[in-house]
Amino acid sequence: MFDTLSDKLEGVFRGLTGRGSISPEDIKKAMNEVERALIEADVNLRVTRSFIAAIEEEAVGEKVLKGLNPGQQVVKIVNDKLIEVLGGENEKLITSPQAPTIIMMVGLQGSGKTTHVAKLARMLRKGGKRPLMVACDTQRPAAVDQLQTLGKQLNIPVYSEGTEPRPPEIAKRALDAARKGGNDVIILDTAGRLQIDDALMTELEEVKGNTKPHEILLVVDAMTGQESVNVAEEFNRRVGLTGVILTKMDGDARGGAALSVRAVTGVPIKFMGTGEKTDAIEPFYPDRIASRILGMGDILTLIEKAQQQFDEAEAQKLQEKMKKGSFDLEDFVDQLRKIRKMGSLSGLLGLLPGVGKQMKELRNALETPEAERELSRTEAIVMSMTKNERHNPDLIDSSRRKRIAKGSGVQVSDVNNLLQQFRTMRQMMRSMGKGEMPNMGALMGGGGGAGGGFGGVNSRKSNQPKQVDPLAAYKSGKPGGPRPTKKKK
Amino acid sequence: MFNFFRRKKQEEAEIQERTREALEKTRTSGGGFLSRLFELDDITDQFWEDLKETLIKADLGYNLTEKLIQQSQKRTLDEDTTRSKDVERIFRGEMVRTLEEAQNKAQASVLANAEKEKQRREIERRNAEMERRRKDKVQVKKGTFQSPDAPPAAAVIPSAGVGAQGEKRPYVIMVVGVNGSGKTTSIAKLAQYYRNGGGSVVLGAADTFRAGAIDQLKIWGGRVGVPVIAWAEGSDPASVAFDTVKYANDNGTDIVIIDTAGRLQTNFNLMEEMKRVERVIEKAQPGAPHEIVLVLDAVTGQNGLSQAKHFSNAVGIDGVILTKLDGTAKGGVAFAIANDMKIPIKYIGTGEKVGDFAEFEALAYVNALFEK
Repeated sequence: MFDTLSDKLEGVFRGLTGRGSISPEDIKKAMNEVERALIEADVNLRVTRSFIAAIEEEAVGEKVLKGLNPGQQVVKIVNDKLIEVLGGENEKLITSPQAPTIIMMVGLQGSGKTTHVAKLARMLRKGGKRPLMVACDTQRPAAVDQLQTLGKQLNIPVYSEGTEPRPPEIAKRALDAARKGGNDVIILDTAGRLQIDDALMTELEEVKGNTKPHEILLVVDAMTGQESVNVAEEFNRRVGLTGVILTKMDGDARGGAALSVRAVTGVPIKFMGTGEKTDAIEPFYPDRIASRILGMGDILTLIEKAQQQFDEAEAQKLQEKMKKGSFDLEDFVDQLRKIRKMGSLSGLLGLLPGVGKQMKELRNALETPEAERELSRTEAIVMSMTKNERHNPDLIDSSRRKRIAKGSGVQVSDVNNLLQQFRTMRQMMRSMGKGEMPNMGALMGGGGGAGGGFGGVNSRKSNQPKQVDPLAAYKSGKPGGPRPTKKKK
Repeated sequence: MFNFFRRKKQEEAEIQERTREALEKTRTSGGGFLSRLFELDDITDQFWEDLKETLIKADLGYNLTEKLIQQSQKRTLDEDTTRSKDVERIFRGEMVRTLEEAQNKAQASVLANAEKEKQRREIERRNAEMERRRKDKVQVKKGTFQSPDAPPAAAVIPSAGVGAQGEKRPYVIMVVGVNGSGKTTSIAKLAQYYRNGGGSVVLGAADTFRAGAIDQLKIWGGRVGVPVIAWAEGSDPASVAFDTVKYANDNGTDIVIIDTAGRLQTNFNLMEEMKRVERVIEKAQPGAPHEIVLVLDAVTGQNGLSQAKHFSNAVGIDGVILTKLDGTAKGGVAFAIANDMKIPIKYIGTGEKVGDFAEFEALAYVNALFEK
């Protein structure tokens, strides 16, 4: 489907090159297309209109009027403005100087509060905290059971009093229990409620009054439509929000609600939920959401062809090599270089459903300073090899290894490790090549070097075929070998 | 089967009333705005702009909004009218027509199915007749004689025909949707609805993934007074579905409703799992499931279209249950689904209680939105 905003804007500006200038009418048409794109992404109408008013001025400016590629210029202006409105950078959770830190989760029914109470608890525990989850949803049948089950799964304590007492009372007593139990973070799960349900909103105010939370997080489903604004405004007005969690981002919802909520309340989006499992939570990065709101095709369009580090033909060649097992060390380093150059692009591509998880792991592993060092080291080792040695690593005997180690300033054990891992990876690729291989060109943008396995994504069943770990060859656990030093969860 | 087109006038009025009540909150918090729009005497460009804005805010989406406005504008010109009351009439008519088209298509396929079902039943009846005669001969020899079958179930309870021995076959409904849409609560409401109509119901707890989901359905089953077939958490959902259908066949239950886990439409593995559940239900009872409904949260934006498309491609969707209409959202994307894919809205959910439920009636719905 090539009906991206860029394509539509191309249509608006087509046939203008040579004319010399772009008229205000053309800009108006362009703004209409931008409006349409944002509405289709579920950005609230009111927010869309003020957003467009803000960019229209800039769109009429020098760059677009005299630019060679006005459509792309407009897209870039929109993208940059989206990032700006979304808050520029990631904002972290508030921690109280005096324990315990209290976090209250609120939102409509079905938004994902309970699941994210567990996700936050798990995340905080990993960060060294001692969280307590509190079951204040006495309305939904088995909501308390759900939280208790999650608590057992994660080995995180849950405070609950069943469904008889009122939530404000439960919350108050939970606070005492936390203090006695030595918990430094309390996360309150509350029942889903409509923002127009006065009785329940009053009850929520009472919970707040009894506990004085440091963080009140509104949980918003990424697929929420125009009403996101009313929901956020009212929750903000009644209890005051300090943050938003945007959930179910692993789907294909464009997530325009993010822009709506932020623009209208000014409250930062702190996290994204990216799956049903308790580890599926990420910090919210405005630039990724901006690209998503604009639409997938626009991400690729934003990156000029010149910036793309490979082309179709090369990707085909790579695929062939992997299938035949003739993928060699030179290809390997080549791919690693490309991944490094891609940088944040790999993050954007990671939003493609299905590919996301592999790319995310790949990206996470490769963007740490330790990984950077390892990559440089690997590069150096391979550069010390002769062309013959790179094409056929099997002929690298011990004397060659010594020479290579000396030439690149590493230990012989480092060379050994690299060769071992490369061999494992090549074997993996060979067996993958026998199965179905997705079009690497379209999906991975040059990131095929470390071997992305595409089977078994998002599987719940434990007896599914084992997911191919793109970093398996890269994680030796041995010192000195090329590996990300970030521990695997 | 789908009985919303075979109803008497009195019941229509009842539904109108219930829908009106159910949509009261929607109307007072924004839907009535539509009515205020139409109090103008002159129809200006600004008027159409305001109308467009109202529809977009209701999540109808750009495409459907444009279509409805263009069609209304055309008819306004044809009828040479500038009076707002006439425009209102035209506009309301366009909305109802769009929704009913979806119902009609479902109707048409239902009629086609009904025809097939009739033929199949005829064949089975003849087989059963032959079997009965054979048995009669045996029984006469033995001295016993079977009394005729019990009278058929009440009209509001959908029928799935009879089996080879003339035994009643259960009508099987499979409920699907994304996480948090309101499947389990809607199933409880549907079960109560059929119970009120005098039918027997059994529920299948085939959401074996989410913590507490089985407990949740069991609690509802207890409240409504219907049995719930369940295995342990983490077990195979298809097996639970199979067992539930088998139970219904063995016990002569009228209706089977299978709850499934919430899943995002873009999750390949989970969509495959859902297809498998459907296949296994078919194995348990040929022809089942007779109905697959998609549960859709009224607050959903344009992603609803993607949901309907993917779920429909996977298992085929016969209808939508539009939930949480007691909130401020109007559920406009369900309109878009009806328009684009001709999938009808069958029921609406209007709260967390089991009685917060009504059959969907296009005219009643649109009227309630326009009511002053």
